[in-house]
Amino acid sequence: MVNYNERLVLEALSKGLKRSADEIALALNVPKPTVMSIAESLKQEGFLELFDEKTVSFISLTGEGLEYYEKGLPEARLMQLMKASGNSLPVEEIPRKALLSQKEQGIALSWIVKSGAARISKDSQRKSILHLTTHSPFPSERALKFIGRARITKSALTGEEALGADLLLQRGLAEEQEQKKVMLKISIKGLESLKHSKEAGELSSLTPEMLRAGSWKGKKFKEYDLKTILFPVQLGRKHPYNSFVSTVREKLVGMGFREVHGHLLELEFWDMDALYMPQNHPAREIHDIFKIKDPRLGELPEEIFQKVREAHRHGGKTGSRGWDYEMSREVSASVILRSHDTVISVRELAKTLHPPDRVFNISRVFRPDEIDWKHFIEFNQFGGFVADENTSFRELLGTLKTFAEEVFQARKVKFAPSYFPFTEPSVELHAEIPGKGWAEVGGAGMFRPELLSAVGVDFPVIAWGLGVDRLVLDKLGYKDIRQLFTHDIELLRKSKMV
Amino acid sequence: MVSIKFSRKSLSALLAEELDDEQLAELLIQAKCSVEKMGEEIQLEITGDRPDLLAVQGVARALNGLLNADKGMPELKLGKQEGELFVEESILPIRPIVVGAFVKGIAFNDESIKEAMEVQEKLTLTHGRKRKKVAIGLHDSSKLKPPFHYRCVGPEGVKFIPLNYTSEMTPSQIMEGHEKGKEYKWILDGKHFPLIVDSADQVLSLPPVINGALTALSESTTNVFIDITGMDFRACNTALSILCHNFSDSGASIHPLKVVYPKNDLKLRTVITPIIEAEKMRLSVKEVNRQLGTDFGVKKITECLQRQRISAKASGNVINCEIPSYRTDFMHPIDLVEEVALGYGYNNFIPQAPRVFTKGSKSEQTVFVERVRDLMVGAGFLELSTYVLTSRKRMEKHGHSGWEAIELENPVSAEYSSVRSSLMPSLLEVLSENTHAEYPQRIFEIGEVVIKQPSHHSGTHTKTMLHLSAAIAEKESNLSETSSILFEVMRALGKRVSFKESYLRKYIQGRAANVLLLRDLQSKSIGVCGELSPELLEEIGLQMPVSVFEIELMEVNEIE
Repeated sequence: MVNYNERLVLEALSKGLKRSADEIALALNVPKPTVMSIAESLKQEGFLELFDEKTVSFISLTGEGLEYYEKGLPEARLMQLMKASGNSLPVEEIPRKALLSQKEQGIALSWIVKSGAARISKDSQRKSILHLTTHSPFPSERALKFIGRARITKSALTGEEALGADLLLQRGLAEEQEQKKVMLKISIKGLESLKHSKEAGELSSLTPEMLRAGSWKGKKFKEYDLKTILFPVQLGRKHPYNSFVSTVREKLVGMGFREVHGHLLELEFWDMDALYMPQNHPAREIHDIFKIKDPRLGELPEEIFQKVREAHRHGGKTGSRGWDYEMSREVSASVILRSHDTVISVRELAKTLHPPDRVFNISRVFRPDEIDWKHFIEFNQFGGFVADENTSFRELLGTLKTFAEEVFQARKVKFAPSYFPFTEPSVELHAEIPGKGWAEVGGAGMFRPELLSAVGVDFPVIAWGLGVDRLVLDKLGYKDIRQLFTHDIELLRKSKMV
Repeated sequence: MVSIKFSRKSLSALLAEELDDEQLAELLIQAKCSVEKMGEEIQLEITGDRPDLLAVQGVARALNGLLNADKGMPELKLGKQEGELFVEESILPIRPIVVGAFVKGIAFNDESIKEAMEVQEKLTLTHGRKRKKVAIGLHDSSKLKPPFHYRCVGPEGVKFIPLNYTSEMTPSQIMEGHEKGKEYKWILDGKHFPLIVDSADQVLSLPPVINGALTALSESTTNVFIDITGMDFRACNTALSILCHNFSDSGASIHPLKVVYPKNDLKLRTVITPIIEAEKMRLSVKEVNRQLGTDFGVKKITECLQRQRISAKASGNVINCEIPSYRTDFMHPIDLVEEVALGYGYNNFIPQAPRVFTKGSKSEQTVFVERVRDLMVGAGFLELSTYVLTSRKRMEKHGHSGWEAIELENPVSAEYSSVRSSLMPSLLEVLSENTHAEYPQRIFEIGEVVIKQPSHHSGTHTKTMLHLSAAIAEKESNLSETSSILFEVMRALGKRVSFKESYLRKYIQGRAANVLLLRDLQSKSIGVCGELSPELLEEIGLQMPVSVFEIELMEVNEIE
């Protein structure tokens, strides 16, 4: 006796022709593994036959391969450099000029020579010189670009790309998976059983017509096999990171903070100058910024610009010595990508505020940085401030402690001295997170008087920023910070809510 | 942040107390050094405000204060002035500032030479702005015959053997052939080269590029001459003070140098360096307690400052402070308040829980976004969150055209060189990378994009918009389904939309629509929806019909 699912498969084969498991899966709208498990059990009972037919070979990039897909193969990057350097370069200069890690230098040199794209000779001073002999792209680079993030059948690759793909496989940058094509054909016994079950009059499902006509009476329904009952279901789902962000947002709101937003593109003036970060000074370089090509320059808010310039020059009206230099208008007016969320806080402070006030924002920020598993050039920051006549450093520590307990479920906290050009005193928050141990989870401080005075604030302000991305990574069981912005649909479907 | 290394042995020799690893790490953190590695070799990260901590001597000086072994401002005893350096007219327009000092009685060994060179490198890198603002030369002074001369020469104006070389080179040969020349020639104009020579015309250095080989330090060096050149007197003198304090802490004696300028104008006048006069600043007890939220008395505040190596004397409710010349980070009394907090120890404060009530709230934007998100999830869509950065090429490949790209001046990767102006290319990219994943695929994203907008109130000539985009990839995906979903979502948000024919090339002809928002008898185009053309699907490697929509939801921060 065949069950309902098994009968569906047999019915799909009832014309007697050979059909592939993939075809059946598509026709019945069930995953292939389900079709295969049903087919196996039908085969054991002799209802159908299974044939293995030709295998299909798929090729996809490995983790390392994907990294080169983004950055370019080391030898291709070396070729770029060589082109820019007039096609030849002393080998000893490569480390300094090329943006290659030490490991990559070895790879680049070995492959550029092995592939015949360059050769090494000695010059008169016995120095090794690398000469580029061709400008045509490496086959492996072409294959890398072609495959990208996809899974490609090997037969889709031809000529140079096929050649390149073989090299990628050799180098462990790509991997190959074989997939057998399985064909199904119904047996005579199968056909008979199908006929028999129709005659037996077992009902496959209840229909509105049956209910209307009462024709279900006295009939028997086909029984399900609970082992093969489950189908994959695609739930509508919130992104796991956004879902976590909502939780944190609720906690901040619960602590009396109101939410604000800012612009993705900013003036360097707001992002840096208004935060009392002097131009052309190490204090400016606590991180780098992305500049925009067009529009390159924006419009400065004249009145505040003058006050900030005065603060940088001689401290404004605060009694501070200031940075003792003249701010450049052109630097200030540069359009950039927001590099930290503190810019949103200072813009908010420049509006008319009524203390006591607590403000927060959750924002995407951008910094030119090395790209690896724990750094990306785009990430999220949680930050804000407390403006209150009576606020103090002790209250800052108290606020940070509450964050650690609420947001990070920390049992213990520690405070370490730190340095930000816009706060004094400055502090780093360390928390002992259950199941993880001690971690640095935020930076904070009291905004400097030069900053506050220039934007017209005459009450103390404590400012803070929390780094939650690493925490979310751990909670989700992800290994790479870039997975927080993943393109992998299956990963998102399988992620648990945190 | 700069990373520095030194041996545990060098530090222990300078510390007043023996400490175990844990005590030492804790004390280092309190002294504002972030501990990267602890053991035989110690590795620290130093913040930009504290160049004095870039050397083991400076670290030990700070720690001895916190250990209560040395209190107040360290006293640097200067010996008698040793020699003169004459600044010549020719150098004034090029690199006018020079300071220096003689150090006597140093016991160098291989390791301490290495440490001294590293301190010099790190100081000129950060504090010296890669040698542009401050460059340092350390010389074995035994072969030198003061007085010295500081002048400007031409590209072929001198020949000497530079450090690490064996043959003589001219300035232009050094710039082209010597590794340091290539590294630092950007600071000079290629025509004028600073040069320090002694009275016998022996070359000490060609700042800020390279020293002469003649004066290289070795294990037999006992006396050193320091030259520091640059563009800013205060910065140069601070660097000199840091080095002199360090050598003095290691047991050497410091002898000043007289720098004589050709004309004695106000800015460039003859000085005897280093100038180690303390900076004076007054701090009120009230201000300290107001900022810190404490009720510290005069005595406690004074003690905390002394532990930070600042001299502090109370006069009523005001404390007169003297800040050592090797510190650079004092502009305002608030900087002394931090010193009080550091001297007290951050972890000794009792955190104060927030006391006043404020009303917390999500922004209206967030409330709105959460509604849209709930509706889309309810319609069975999987939410995505992708990067704001993309590239023009990626956007165009995925059907986006006819817009002005906002490109980065300094991208780190070609793949992330533009700011997105639409969400749809990312969604299509996701679909094309997931051809192995189970269908149907229904995905959406609510995210920020940037659009050019001249004279926008942000000042950036751009505005940040919040968009919603969705895509359905399945056998029977079609315009009717996407437009119906969009219609229902908008209706639930209290908005009415209608659809009008659109003939964009990326869609199948006759199967795309402009989305119009209807309000007060007006209609405004807010987006598009449609079935992607087979040409585009083929281009991005999809073998499944895809229908999409994208609309603008609102402008971020619309009401300022």
